[in-house]
Amino acid sequence: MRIRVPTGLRARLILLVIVPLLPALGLILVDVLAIRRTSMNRTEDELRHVAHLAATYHASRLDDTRQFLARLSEDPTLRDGDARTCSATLARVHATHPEYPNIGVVGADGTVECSATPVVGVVSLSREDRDRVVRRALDSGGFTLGDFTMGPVSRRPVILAGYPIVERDGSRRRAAVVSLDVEWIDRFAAGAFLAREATISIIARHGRIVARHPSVPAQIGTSVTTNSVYREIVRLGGNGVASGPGLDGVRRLYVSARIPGVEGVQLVVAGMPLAGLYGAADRALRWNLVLLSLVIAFSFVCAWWLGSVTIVDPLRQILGATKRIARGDLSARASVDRAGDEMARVAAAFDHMAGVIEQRSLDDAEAREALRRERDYVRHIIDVTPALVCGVLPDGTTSFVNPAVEATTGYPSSELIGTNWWRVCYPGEAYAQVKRLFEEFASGPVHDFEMDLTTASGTTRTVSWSSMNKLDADGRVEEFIGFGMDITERKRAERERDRFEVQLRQAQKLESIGQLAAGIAHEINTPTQYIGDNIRFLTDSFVTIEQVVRSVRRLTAAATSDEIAIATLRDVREGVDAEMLDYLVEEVPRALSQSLDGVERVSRIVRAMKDFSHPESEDHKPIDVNRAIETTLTVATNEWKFVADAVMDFDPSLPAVMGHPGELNQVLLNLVINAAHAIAEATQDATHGKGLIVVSTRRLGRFAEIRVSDTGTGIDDAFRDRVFDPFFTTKPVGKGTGQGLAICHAIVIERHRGQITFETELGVGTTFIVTIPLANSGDDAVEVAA
Amino acid sequence: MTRILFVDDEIRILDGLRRMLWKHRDRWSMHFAAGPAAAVTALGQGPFDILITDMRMAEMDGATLLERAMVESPATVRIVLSGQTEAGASERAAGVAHRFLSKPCDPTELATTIELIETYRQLVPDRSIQAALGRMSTVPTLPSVYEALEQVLGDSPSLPIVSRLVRSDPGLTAGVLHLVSSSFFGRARESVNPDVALGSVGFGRLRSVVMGMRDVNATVVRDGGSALRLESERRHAQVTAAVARAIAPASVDVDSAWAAGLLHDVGKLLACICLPNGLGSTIAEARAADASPADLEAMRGGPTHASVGGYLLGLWGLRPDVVAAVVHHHEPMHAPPAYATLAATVHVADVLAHYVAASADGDGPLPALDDAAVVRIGGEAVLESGRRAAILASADGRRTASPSRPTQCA
Repeated sequence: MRIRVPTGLRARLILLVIVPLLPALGLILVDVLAIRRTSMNRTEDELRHVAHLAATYHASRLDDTRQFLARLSEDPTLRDGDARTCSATLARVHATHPEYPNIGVVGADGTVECSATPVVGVVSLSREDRDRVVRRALDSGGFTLGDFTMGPVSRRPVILAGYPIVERDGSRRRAAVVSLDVEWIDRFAAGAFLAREATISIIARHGRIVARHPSVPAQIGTSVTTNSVYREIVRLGGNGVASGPGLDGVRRLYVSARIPGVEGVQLVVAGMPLAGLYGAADRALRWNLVLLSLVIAFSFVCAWWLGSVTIVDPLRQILGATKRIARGDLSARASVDRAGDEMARVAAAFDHMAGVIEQRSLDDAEAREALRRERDYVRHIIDVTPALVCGVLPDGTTSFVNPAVEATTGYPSSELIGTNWWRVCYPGEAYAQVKRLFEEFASGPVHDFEMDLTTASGTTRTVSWSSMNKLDADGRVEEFIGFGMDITERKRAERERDRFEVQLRQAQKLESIGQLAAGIAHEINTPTQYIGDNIRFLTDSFVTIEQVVRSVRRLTAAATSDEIAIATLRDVREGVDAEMLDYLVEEVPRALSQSLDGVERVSRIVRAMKDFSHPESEDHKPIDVNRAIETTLTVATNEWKFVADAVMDFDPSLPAVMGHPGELNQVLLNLVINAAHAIAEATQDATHGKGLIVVSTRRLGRFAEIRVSDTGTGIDDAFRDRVFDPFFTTKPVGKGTGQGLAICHAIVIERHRGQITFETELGVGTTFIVTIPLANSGDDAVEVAA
Repeated sequence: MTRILFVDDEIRILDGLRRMLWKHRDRWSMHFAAGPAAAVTALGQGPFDILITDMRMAEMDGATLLERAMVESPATVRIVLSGQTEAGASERAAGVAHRFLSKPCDPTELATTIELIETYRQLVPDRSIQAALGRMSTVPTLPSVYEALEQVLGDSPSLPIVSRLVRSDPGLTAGVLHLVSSSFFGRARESVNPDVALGSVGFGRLRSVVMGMRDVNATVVRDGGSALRLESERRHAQVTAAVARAIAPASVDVDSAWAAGLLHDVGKLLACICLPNGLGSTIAEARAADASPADLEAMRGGPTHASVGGYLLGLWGLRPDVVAAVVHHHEPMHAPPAYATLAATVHVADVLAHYVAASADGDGPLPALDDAAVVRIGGEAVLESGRRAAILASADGRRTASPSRPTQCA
């Protein structure tokens, strides 16, 4: 689709170029008009001159005719002679005056009495001619001139002129009449060197044409009054000028001259064709117009081309770019690259502007987008946050709730907004709490105000409320923004966790006891093995001992008879295995003592076991820490004895602490086992030999301090913060659940209001320090339980 | 005199043992090392026939000591006497210890064990063969069998599938029975049924032990040199076990019959891969000469594949009746009277299996059938039922042939 504006612009550009040329057109026209007028004037003058000459010539001919007739009328022949002589005379006269077509004598009744040219029959003048020429001549006695008429004889237009013949008696009965023709007009015209199509006409009275050059026989005798131009000429009389189409339709300039000396208006009219008249002017005009057209055409082409190149095209580019920008394509550019020209500068300015607009639009879009994103983000957060967000007016009316409120309460926002939903969700006595909450709102931000909320379905959710006051310009509270966290699950989880912790503690205790069980079994199996071996040995030995006893008895019996038979002695000696006896004497006491020792070991372990797994009771009791440590080390012997020696460095005067014996033992056991494991790890390449576990106690003000040191690996920096985390362990799978120290932490801190810390150095060892409040500082009379 | 070294870091244990065993001082030369260090010294000073050690000791644990002994004195029979009660303790020792006894140990059991070992040692008196066998911690098994077992254990093991796989292979069965012979497993060790053993041991422990065995075995099988074909031995063992169970008379425990049948030629497998001279080449020669290996062995004197297999199974604590049946499966009537019927059962089953295999494959030397043995287990009637069982079992064995082609003992 071509756009029209550039075309219009181009048209205007072209007009701009062409309009200045229009005066030239005017000049040309004026010039032409001037030429025309000059030509007209000159022609008019010429025509007037010609007409005047013709009229004068005609007049002079009439004058000649008058003198001729005057002389002729006095000729006696005419006066007296008969018709034949009269005609002879006239013929003679006619021969000398051939310019007259005929000469005759006409009676008063118009009858031609004689003529120079023989007349056949009786010829009469027309009544009009008779009256005008003959009668008036007879009446006036002078020269009269008739109108042009068609010659009765010659059948040519002629003018009859008459002069009375005075009879001898002085009467006037006849007149000499001569006919004048107008043939001369052709000769005159030839002599006047008239232009082609020029005409000379003689118009007689009543506007009839009597002669015309060039000759047009049909017109002769006709009236010109039907033609407006001739009518005008006739109306003006002599010396008139008019232009217009003639009788033959050719436009001419006509000038008239009055024929002097005749009666009535008789004119000579000379006409010159206007075409011929304006020919030169028109040729000049045509030529000038052609030149002008060429100039205009050239200007048009120049204007078109230059306009296109310099204005229209750049404009079109700018326009195109503008339209594209209007359509939203802000990256559109005019891109006119001609340097230095205003249009290019305009285009450059336009491009710059478009660039700025685009940049601004981009910036705006970016800013709007960022704003929208931010708004959406905030909106999204409010929509998806599990936190209950609500706006509350000071009178308790809700102004805003987020989806979390709907989800938690079970009411749609339409039922919440505009109402005091607190009354719905906190019915009955709970609303008193709400009122307290509102009071606190008024006094400033509220934190973690926990209340049980009743939902639409009647269930209860625990919500922890916090609030922010939104103040108006005067600092008055306009609205509270409440933030609620549904902590029902957390509460439940906390309860679960509490229960779980108890179970975990129990489980861990079982775990450590289970671990111990294997070790304890080993500790018991070993003495059992040698006790059993020793008893088997003793049983076997008893055969020998029995023999000895029997021998002794025989000897004793023999001794009563005061004589001992040699044979008896020999029997006894042979019956007793001396080597065996020696062996027994040496081994039996050791077997017995080692067995007793073994029994003691077993019973010690069993006793420690019993002490350790103290009968469960939730009561806190005074505890002898030193003994608890001893017990624990005994029970755990098998866990440490292969990797370390244990040293107990006790404060013997340490008062009892208040606590739960079973749990405290669990703590000590965990610490000892950890120490053993740390040492095992450090000495597994067997280059360091056995490690050392030192357990010391001392009193520290109102606290008992227990330190369990090992020469193990130490704790890596990375793990130090997590030592007491549940389920955190660096031990391989199956070696520990990661509960030990977490349980210790819980037991010491929560159950005994004590503290547990540690000091550690990588590669050197770790010391765990447990401090527990003394049962009753300064009162040693407390009964101590293990 | 059997030289026995006791090792424990608890002196009272050693004292107790010394006193209890003092009455055997004429039979056994007993030495007591207080701790691993002393034990290493003692091992270096003289060859011992039996080493009995504690497991948990401060400087070096029992398993490590046994590993050293296995290298330095492979002919010595290695026994653990541990106070540990957790079964996991046996895992480490499983590869290196022949027997696993726990404290407190019944004095009779200890003495009986030592006596049994003395008996078994007389089966293979050659100390170099003892040493070669002492280095064995497993019976050679096709790697493909281990792979199949590993795959089964890795997926979701079920007892029937695992059992079927274990029971199909003499090496795996011997390994499982060895593992369960540890006194940790209480009554289960009285059984020679792999299902009972598997139930006690558990898949987890089985997996770790068996995979350990596989690593050892892989090198063994690859490096072994003998003409015996493991796969055909395995199939023969399966058929023999099935036949033995089928023809076992009422007085014989069918599990024992089955186990003895499956394990009767373990000696050939061992000879195939581990014996430097003598037996392995004898068996190879026998195959080359189209003669029964047993006959050739008998001609040559010295240890037979039966006694070699019995020796190792005995050291591994398999039940004495099974061991005796393995030892005497070629001359059942020489077996101790208590075990003669079982031995006869295995003998007949072995021969029938060979016959059926020969009629199918048409090759291999055929052992002679001991008529007395046939009479012992019920007369001619059992032969027919045994043959049917053999045909069925070999057909079954062909259908469920080993997952890969037989591995040649080069």
